[in-house]
Amino acid sequence: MIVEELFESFFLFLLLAAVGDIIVERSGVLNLWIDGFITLIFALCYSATIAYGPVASLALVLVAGALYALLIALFVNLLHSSHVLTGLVTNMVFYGLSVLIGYWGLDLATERGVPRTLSISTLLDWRTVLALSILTVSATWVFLYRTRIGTSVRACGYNPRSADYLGVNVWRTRLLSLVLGYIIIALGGYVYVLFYSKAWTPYIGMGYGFLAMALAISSLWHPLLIALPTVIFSYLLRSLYVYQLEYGISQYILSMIPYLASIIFITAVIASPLGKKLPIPKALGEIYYKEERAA
Amino acid sequence: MALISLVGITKRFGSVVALDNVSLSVESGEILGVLGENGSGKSTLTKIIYGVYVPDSGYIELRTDGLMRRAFFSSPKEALLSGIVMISQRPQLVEELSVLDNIALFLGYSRGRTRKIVESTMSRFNIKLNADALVGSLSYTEKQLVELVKALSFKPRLLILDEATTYLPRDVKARFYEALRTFASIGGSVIFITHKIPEALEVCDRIAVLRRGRLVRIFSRKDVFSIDDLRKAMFEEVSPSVATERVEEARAEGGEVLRAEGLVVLDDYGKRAVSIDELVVERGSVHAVVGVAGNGQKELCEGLSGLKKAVEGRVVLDGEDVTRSRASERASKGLVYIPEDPFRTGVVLDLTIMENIRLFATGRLSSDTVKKVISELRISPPEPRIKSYMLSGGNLQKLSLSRALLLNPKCMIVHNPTRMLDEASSRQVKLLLRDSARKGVGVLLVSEDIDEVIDVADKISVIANGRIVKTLPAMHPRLREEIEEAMSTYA
Amino acid sequence: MPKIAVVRRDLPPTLSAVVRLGVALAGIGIAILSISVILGVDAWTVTERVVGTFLRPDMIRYFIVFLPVGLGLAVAYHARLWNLGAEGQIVMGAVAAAYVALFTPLGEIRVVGPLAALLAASLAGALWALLPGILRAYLNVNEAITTLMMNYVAYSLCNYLVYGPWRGRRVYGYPETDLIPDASKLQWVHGYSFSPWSLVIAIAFVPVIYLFLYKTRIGTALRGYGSSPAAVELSGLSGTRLIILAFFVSGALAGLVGGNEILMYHRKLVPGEKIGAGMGFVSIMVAWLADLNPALMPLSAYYVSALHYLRMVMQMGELTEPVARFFIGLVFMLLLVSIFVSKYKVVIRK
Repeated sequence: MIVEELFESFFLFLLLAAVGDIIVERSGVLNLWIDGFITLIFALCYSATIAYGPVASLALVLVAGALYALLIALFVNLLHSSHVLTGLVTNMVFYGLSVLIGYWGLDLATERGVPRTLSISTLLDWRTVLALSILTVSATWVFLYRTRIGTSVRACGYNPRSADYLGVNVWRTRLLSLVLGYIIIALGGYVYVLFYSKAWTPYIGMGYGFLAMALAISSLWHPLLIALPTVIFSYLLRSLYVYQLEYGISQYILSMIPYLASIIFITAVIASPLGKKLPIPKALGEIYYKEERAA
Repeated sequence: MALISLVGITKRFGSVVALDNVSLSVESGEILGVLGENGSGKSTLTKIIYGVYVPDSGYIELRTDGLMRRAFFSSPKEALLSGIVMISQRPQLVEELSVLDNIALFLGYSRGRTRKIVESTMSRFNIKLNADALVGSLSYTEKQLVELVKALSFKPRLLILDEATTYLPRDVKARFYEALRTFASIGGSVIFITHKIPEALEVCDRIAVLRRGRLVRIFSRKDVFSIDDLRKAMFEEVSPSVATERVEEARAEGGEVLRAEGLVVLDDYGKRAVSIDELVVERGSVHAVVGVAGNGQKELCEGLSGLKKAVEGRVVLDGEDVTRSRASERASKGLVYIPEDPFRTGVVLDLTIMENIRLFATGRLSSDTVKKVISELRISPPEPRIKSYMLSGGNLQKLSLSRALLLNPKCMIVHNPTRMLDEASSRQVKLLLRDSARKGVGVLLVSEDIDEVIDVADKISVIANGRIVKTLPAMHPRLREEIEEAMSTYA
Repeated sequence: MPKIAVVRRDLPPTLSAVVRLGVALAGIGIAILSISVILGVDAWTVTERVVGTFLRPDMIRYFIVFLPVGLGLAVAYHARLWNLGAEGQIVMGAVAAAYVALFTPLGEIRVVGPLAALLAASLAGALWALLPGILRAYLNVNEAITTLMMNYVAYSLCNYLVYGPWRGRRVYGYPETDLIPDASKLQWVHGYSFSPWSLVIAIAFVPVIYLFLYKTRIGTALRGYGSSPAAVELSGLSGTRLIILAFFVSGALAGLVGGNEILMYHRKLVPGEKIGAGMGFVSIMVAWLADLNPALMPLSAYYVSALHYLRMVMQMGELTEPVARFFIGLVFMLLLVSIFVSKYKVVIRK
C-alpha cells in the first residue's frame, strides 16, 4: 500500500524536525545548530534507552531539547552572537559529544550482555503516523497564525525592530520559539531511533538537520506547505538503497542526491511566484541589537 | 502637577555630545513642544524617555502613585508599562500583519477585545480606518493614522510625537491636532517634537527650544514673544535663504540629460506606486518633484536610479536608453542617486569616512582629495579614519552627498537631501545643488518639503498618487499656494 | 529585580586584541586541565607537552591549511557572504589535483606537474564555490545552506571516485588511489610532514589579501557590501559581480589547499571525509578569531594549528577525533563570548 510506504517513522522524524525548525526560524533565528542537536539526540536517545528504558529516554530527550534551546538563546539573545558562527561552533561541540555518549551506550550494552540493536515491540503504523503528522502540522499552524504568541513570533521574524516597538519582548519570544521548536525536534529524534533505525553508529544524524532546514526553506516556512516536500523527500531518501540494489548505481552517487535535490528544490521555490508572494521571515539570521545610532 | 521630569540628562555617542545636561518637565493635561533644528538633540531626548537609549548621566522621574519616583527604562516595553507611548515620523509597524494584529500585539489583548477597543477609540477621536487591512498596503498618511489610533487605544499617560505630523498634509495634520487636544483635555500629556515653528505654535501650550544638545529657553503661551524670538533661540543667527542667491544667477543652457517616459514602478507590495507619462531633467537646472510623503517619491527615485526595475516605460540618460541597466551601471554612466536614508543605502556605516570616499571615487584617490571633500562639505568630526557610525545623521547625509563631488555625474537625483540637516548644513547643501547645476549637471530634487523645494528649484512638479499633476516654473506667482493645492490630491 | 541592558561599546583595537589573547590563553588552560583529568596524567607533564606543540614546527602542517583558507573565507565574510563550503571546496581541489597527477602526462613532469595540479585544484575549488555563489547572486538563495549541502556532495563525489573508477590498492581495509608519481610530490622539510613551498605560498597570500581588502576600491566595496549593498551599488559597483568574485576567491584558495594536501601530505586520493577532516569548518573560526583581518590571520592560524596538533598528544584511540572536536568547539565557544565582551557591555541598574 502506498500509504503505508509513505507514512512511516522516518517521514514522521523528518516532519517533526522540519516543523520544529519552522517554529524556530519564524522568530528570526537561523537554525544551523539543528544538525549538532539531531546528531546528539540520536546518540542520547539510543544510550538512554539502553540504560534506562524507552520511557525515561523520552523524558530525557525532551529535557535535552529544552536545555539546548536555552544554551542557544544565551548566545543569540544575550551575547548577540552571529547566528552562523554560533551554529558552526555548537555543531562542532555536539558532534564530538554525541560520539562519546553513543559509545557509552554501546559499551553499556556490551557490559549488560544486551543486544546492541534496540528491540521495541510497539510499532508505528501508518494511521498513527498520519494522525500525528496532521496533529503537528495543524497545531503549529494554529499556534503561528491564530494565537497572540504566534503572531509575536512571526513579527520577530519579519521585523524585530518594529516588533520591539510594538512591545514584543524579542528575547523572550525567541527563547520560547527555540524551546518549543527543539522539544518537537527532540521528539522527532526519539521517533527515529526507537522506531526506525533502532541502532547507533558514530556521527549518525549529521546532515539531517540541514536537510530539515532545506525542507523548511522550500515550504517558505509555512506549516501547511511542509508536508508535501517532506513526504517526497523521505520517500526518496529511503528508496535510494533500492536503486543501488536494483540498478547497481554506486551508493556514493546516490548519497549525493538528497543534497543536490535540496538545492534544486530550494532554488525552484524561491525563484517561483509563490516565493515572491508569501511573506517570509526577512529578518532570518539578523543579530537583533536594540540600541542603534539612528536619527 | 508634573507627570514626568527629566533631570540633568546627558548623552554622548563616541565623541559627539548629543544632549548636555538637559532638564525639563511636563504637566498633566499639557502639550509641551520641543522645538529644535535637526541635530539639536530632540530625537535623542525622546529616545531616552522611550527606553531606546540609556543616558550617560542624569535621571528621569515619573509620577507614580502620586509621588515623583525615579524611573529607568531599558526598553520601549518598560516605557510602555509606565504609560508612555511614542509615535515617530516613520511608522513602526509590521507590514506583513494587519492593522488589527499590530494593535493587538501592542495592547497585548486578543483580536476580539482589541477590535472593540479600536472601534471605540476611532469614534471618540474621530478617525476612520479599516482594521483588517494589511499595513503594507496602506499609504504613509494612513499608516501614521494607524499609529495614532494604536497609541490612543493604549490610553497612555504620556504621548510623544516625534516629528510625527511634519510630513502630513494639512487636513490630516488638523485631525491629529484635534485628537491631541481632546487627549489633553481628559488629562493626558503630550510631548510634541518638531523643527517647524508654525506647527509648534499651533498646538503647544509651552515650547522648549533645544540647540546643539542644550535647553536654551522655554516659551509659554501666556508669555508674549515673537516668531523671531523663537528663531533666535533655535539658531544662533538666521541665515538668508538660498533663494535670494538663486534669483541673481543666469540660467544655464538646457538640453535633456534625463528623460523618463511612461514609467511605471511598483512598490514593495506590488502596487503601482509611480505612473509618469513624461519627466525631463535638463542640464544645468534643478527640477524638483514635491508631494506629500508616500506618494511615490521613493519609488520614483528607485526606478530612475535602477534600484528597482520599472515594469513599464523607458529611462534615457544623456541619449542612452538605460532602462535595462542595473543601478551600478547607471551610476558609472553618470546617473548618481543620493538616497534620503544614509544609514543603509547612502553610506556604509561600518567603514571609515575615508573608506566610504574610497568607495565612491573611481580611479586613484589621494589623501588630499579626501581632505578636500571633508572640508568642502564640512563633515564633522573631520577625521577621515573614524568609523561612519560615529557620525550624526546630518553628517552621514553630507558624506553620502560627497558622491556628487566624486563621481562627476551628468545627472543627480537627490531625495530629501536636507531632511536631517541643521540650518547651516541645509544651506550648504542647497548651495551645492545650485552649484552643481551651474556646472552643467542636471539635478532632480525629489522632496516632501515645500520649503526645501522652493528655495532651490528652477522648475517644480507636484507628485500625487504616483502621477505628476502639475508643473510650474519657480518664478510663478502664488507658487506656494498652487503647489499646496496640487499636493492636496494626495494618496 | 535588577534590570539588564546591553549597550554597544567601542574598544580600541589593541584592547580588543588583548581580550582575544586572553581568551586564547584561557583556551589553552582548559585544554591542559581537561587532558590531564581525562588521561590521568599530571598537569605539569601535560603543560610541557602542550607548550611543546606550540613551539615545534610539526604544527606547520596545519598552518598551511588554515591560513590560506581562512584568508579566502575572510574575503567572503567581509561581504557577509556565508561560504560554509570550504570543506567541500578543499575536497574538490584535492580531486582535481589527484586527477592531474595520476591521470595526465603532466603528473610525470617535475615542477610543471605540481604547478598544473595546483592550478587545477584552485580552479576546481573556485568552480565548486561558484554554483552556490551564482544562486545567491542572481536568485538570492541562502548560501549558508547551499554551500553546506555542496560539502556533502563533494564528499560523496570523492568517495565515488576513490571506491570506484580510481580505486588503487587497499591499505588496512581503507580504499585509496595509487600514489601520485614522484615528480608531483612536494618534498618535505626533513623530519616533518610539510613542504617549504607550501609555507611560502601560504604566507605570501597574507599581504596580497590584505592589500586587496584594505587598499583597493573593490576590496573596500566587498567590505561594505555586507551591511549596505545599496550604498555599494549606487557607487557604481555591481553587487552580483562582487558576490561572484568573493565566492571565486574563497573557493580558489580552499581548492588550492586541497590540492596541496594531495601533493604534499596524502600523496594519493583518500575518501572525502579524510581529506577535509573538518578543517574547512575550523578555518571558518580561524578567520573570525583574527577578526577577519589578514594581518592577524597568521597568529590565529598558528594558535589553532597548535591546538589541532594537540590531538596527537591525546591518543585516545577511536575517541581522539570526537574528543578533539569537542574541545576545539569549546575553545571556539569561548571565542564567541570574547567577541561579545569586546563589542558590548552589560549595564545593570536597580
